[in-house]
Amino acid sequence: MSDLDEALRELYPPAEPDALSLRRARARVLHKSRSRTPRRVLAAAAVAVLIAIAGAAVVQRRHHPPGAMVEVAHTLSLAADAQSQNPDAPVPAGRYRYIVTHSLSMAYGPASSYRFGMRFETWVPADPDGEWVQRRTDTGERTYLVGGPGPDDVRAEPETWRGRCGDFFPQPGVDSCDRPGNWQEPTASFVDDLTRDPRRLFDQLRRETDGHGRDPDQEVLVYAADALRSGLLPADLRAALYRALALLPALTITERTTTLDGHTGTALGIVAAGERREIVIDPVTGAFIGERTRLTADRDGIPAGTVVGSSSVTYRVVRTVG
Amino acid sequence: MNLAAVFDEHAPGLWRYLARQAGATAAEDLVAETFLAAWQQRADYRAELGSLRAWLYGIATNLLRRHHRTQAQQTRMAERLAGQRAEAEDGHDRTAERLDARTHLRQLAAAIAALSDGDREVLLLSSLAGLESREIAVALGIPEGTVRSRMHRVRRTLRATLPAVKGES
Repeated sequence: MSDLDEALRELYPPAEPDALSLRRARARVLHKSRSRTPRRVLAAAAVAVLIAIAGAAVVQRRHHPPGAMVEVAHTLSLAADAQSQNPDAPVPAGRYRYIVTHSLSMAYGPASSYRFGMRFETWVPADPDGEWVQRRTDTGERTYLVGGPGPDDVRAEPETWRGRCGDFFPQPGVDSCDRPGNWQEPTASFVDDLTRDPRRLFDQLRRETDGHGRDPDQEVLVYAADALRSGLLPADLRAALYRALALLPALTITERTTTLDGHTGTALGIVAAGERREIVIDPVTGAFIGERTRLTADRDGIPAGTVVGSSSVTYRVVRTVG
Repeated sequence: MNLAAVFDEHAPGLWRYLARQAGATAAEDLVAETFLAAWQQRADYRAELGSLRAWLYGIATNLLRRHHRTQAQQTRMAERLAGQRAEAEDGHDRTAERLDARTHLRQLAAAIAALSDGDREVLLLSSLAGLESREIAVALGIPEGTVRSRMHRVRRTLRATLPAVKGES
């Protein structure tokens, strides 16, 4: 420990949590979180909720010309068919599925706001119970939307993480290969348990996004995009998800032909809460190209129309890691 | 997200971190607010970008920043130091060395108070919470390179307020 750390210890004397204080905080958190989503009420009103959603769907659909709806359904259905007909080739023993995600995200600082690029490369072994490797690279891409480069904005060194079953942050007491997973981190058991029935998949997305995000329809799209972006969903599930998204009342084709990271596809999105969130798919092969978020209203000095986040994903089979 | 399990795992660490900066009473409120905010924002949690711990400390840091704004951190730090100084001066071993150490501590406190929020947060998330650069980057939503360069700069600045010492890393 350095002298500075010792001095900091004196300046901020260590404090041990008082059990009573923690119990009070815990009770408050659990009570308030429950009162925000009362489970019993949800269960009892499940039928009513579904009817309400169906009703809302009819009402909201009227905002769009009927042709647009058909076009969305048609585009997603074509993509789904293509996915079903072209499942991913299995990874031969000893090789890896190599998934590359390139993302652009916003960093907000006191004097500047900028977009920065990251590349996530993941090597998934043929036997997914083996060791996965992930390399995270700061691409050095910077786009200043407010202010300009500061002395702090240094490019980070690449980092490599390893973990069985893709568990790069193992938690004590949790089996890395038996994690339940979720839409944001689709583990093998999560993927296996998901229904391939589009209507039931849609209902599940509705239930699990209920109360999250700023717009219910947008949040369904976001959850689906989270899972698709992982590159870990099998073709049958990707197809089912596309068909499920066709049930989203507010989804429209936002750009018939667009380019994301050099790949051309069709953008489908939802405008709500000051932003347009989109997924971009190749309508012919059904490939999920990526996702994008664009402001539709000025925010924090950043003008409407600015892309504030995007990610694209590609994958292929490779012989070695690195 | 199993809120109760997440609370039990992370609340004690967060409580310590918050209490060291804001006192025990405020720590209780801030811990509760951190978990409620996490619960409301749970859809924003991206597991692939970092640990749950880092994300929670990010939320706590934002709440702490708001708390400090309203509480005027410098005032409290000065009061705390005045208390410590009085204690030292009243004590029996009122050696020149100890008084000297207090003076340096006061200078260090002033230097910390003068840091920008972002610089101070990097320092304290590292020193008090024991987060790694990668986790701090997630918590504060900044690139890891920025965390490292800030840390280096802040530590160099603060070391200058301490008496010249035997080599520090």
